[in-house]
Amino acid sequence: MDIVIDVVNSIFILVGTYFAVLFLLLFFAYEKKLFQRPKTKNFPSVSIIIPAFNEEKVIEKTIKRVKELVYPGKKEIIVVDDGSTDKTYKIANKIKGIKVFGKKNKGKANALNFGLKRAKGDIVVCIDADSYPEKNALLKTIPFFEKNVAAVTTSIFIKNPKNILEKLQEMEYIMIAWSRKISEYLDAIYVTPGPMSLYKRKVLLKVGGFDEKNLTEDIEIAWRLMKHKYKIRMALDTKVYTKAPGDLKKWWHQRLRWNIGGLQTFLKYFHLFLNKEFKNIGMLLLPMSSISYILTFVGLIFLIYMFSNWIRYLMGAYIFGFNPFIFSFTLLPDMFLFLLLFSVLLTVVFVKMNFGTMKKITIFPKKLSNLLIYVFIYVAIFPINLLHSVFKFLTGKYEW
Amino acid sequence: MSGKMKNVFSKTAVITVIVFLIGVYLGIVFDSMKVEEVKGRITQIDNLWNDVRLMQSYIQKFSNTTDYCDFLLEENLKVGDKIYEEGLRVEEYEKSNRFSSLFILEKKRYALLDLQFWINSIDLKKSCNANYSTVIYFYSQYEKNPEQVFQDRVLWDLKQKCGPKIIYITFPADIDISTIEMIKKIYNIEKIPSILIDESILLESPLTMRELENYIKC
Repeated sequence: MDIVIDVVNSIFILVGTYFAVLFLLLFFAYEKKLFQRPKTKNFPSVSIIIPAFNEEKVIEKTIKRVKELVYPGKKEIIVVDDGSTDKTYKIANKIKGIKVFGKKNKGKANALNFGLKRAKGDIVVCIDADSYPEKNALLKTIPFFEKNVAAVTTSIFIKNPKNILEKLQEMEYIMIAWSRKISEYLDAIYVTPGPMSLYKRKVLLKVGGFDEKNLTEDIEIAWRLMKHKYKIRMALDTKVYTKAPGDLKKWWHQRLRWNIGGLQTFLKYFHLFLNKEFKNIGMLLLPMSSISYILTFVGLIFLIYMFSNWIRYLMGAYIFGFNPFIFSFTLLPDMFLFLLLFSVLLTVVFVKMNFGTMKKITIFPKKLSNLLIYVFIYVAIFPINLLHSVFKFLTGKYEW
Repeated sequence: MSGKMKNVFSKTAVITVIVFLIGVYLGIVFDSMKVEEVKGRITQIDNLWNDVRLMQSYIQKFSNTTDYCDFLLEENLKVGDKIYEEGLRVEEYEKSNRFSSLFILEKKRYALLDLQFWINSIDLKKSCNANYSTVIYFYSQYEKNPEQVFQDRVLWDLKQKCGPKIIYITFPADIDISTIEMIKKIYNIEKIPSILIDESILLESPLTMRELENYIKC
């Protein structure tokens, strides 16, 4: 068993090191270009679609913020009330200068497609009803729409994080934004996040709009655009603030949805695995996702194995009458100690580069204790959530 | 994907492989350093052991052993404690050893020292009418099953509890030492792990602390 553990550890270290080094190399190669955007004098018409379901508490503020968006071109705002049972429609309908539609509840993707069909702008901007883009968001994102670019994503941050869970998500979102920008250089942005993403309307219609069967239409559409050889860009300095789940139950449910949607997308495009014609999906996203799925499950099996060993050890201590809490531990240098120290160093550099970049546009979360909780506890929960997601996915017990 | 991108992937692969190879190389260096240290430590016990043996031979040759029993027993226990202490250290080193096959040679040297110490302890016990018990634990070097882990811990606790009242010696039963093979045959030891108490009671592991205390009073 020792040799198996060593081999698994080696694979984890190799894969982890590979991706950390890859991202760092890309970061150093493009460091000066991270906040650059193409220059443009062309400001096409935009249609902002806000799908809303029971958002009476936030819809007014969101519409207000969207109306305040500075943009020299034509701008229309479409609110699609997806069969809310509260006052969302009523509140939105009172606001002048926007189009409000009501329809039966059929899910977010359906609401987006509903809005897409009614949109007239060249660019469609999808904004979640609980998300607030900064005033210059359109000015900062539209220039990215060069010839083959079909979508532009933004940096999503957490609005007023208060409790520890929200603060951990704040940290997570900062890391995700940075990583997504780095992924742009691989042409492998795997998601156009719901809080705010922009698309070329004609392209979106051409590829068939949002997939209504997928739980994460924002992941699926990104993969589909890439499959059709379109590019996705990331406007790193465009800030959009969104509400994060404030309690564990809601957070867990959100992550289940993300994971199940991710799995749906993964399986939908799995036929492109190692297909050189679709390099970013076939040679990058699918192999990367496969590796992360496999490692997650191997890691989980490992954790279960170690946990069962501990239980067995404690039971043995009880039955055989020895003291289980006396350990002799000497830290002796070996191959794994070196690799572990290297991994820690790499992680520190990774986080430092990440936060070092992001503090130019957002407030840097300073609490070291939160960072430690994030690295050692928060991230460690992911595999368990993934396992739950796979179970739900296989048993078909999932919904939005 | 541009040529620049392909370059990044190959650069990353090269860096990753280099880092990993450095890890493997350092692992080999660290392991040989550990073997050297263990070698040095065993040599130290060997010297200590030779010293005690010479002392005993001198006493046996030029005077009456029984007159010096307290002294000889005390010296024997000192060596025993040292061997036991070093045994725990060797175990720690062994756990972190991944590459060096030389480690097993040192383990054999350590086991041979243990054998000599055991035989000497039996002799002294007879000639000085000492009241300690010898607890000999035969374990497997290569098959570390949970039973063995539990027995290790129970015996470790027992040694802590009894101190000098027991001489606790561990033998890897499967590292190809002729004397150990012979002892296994003499005492008909077929199952590993097993415990031999006072050269007369053979117990098959795993045994609880209570079961062991029925045979060993301390």
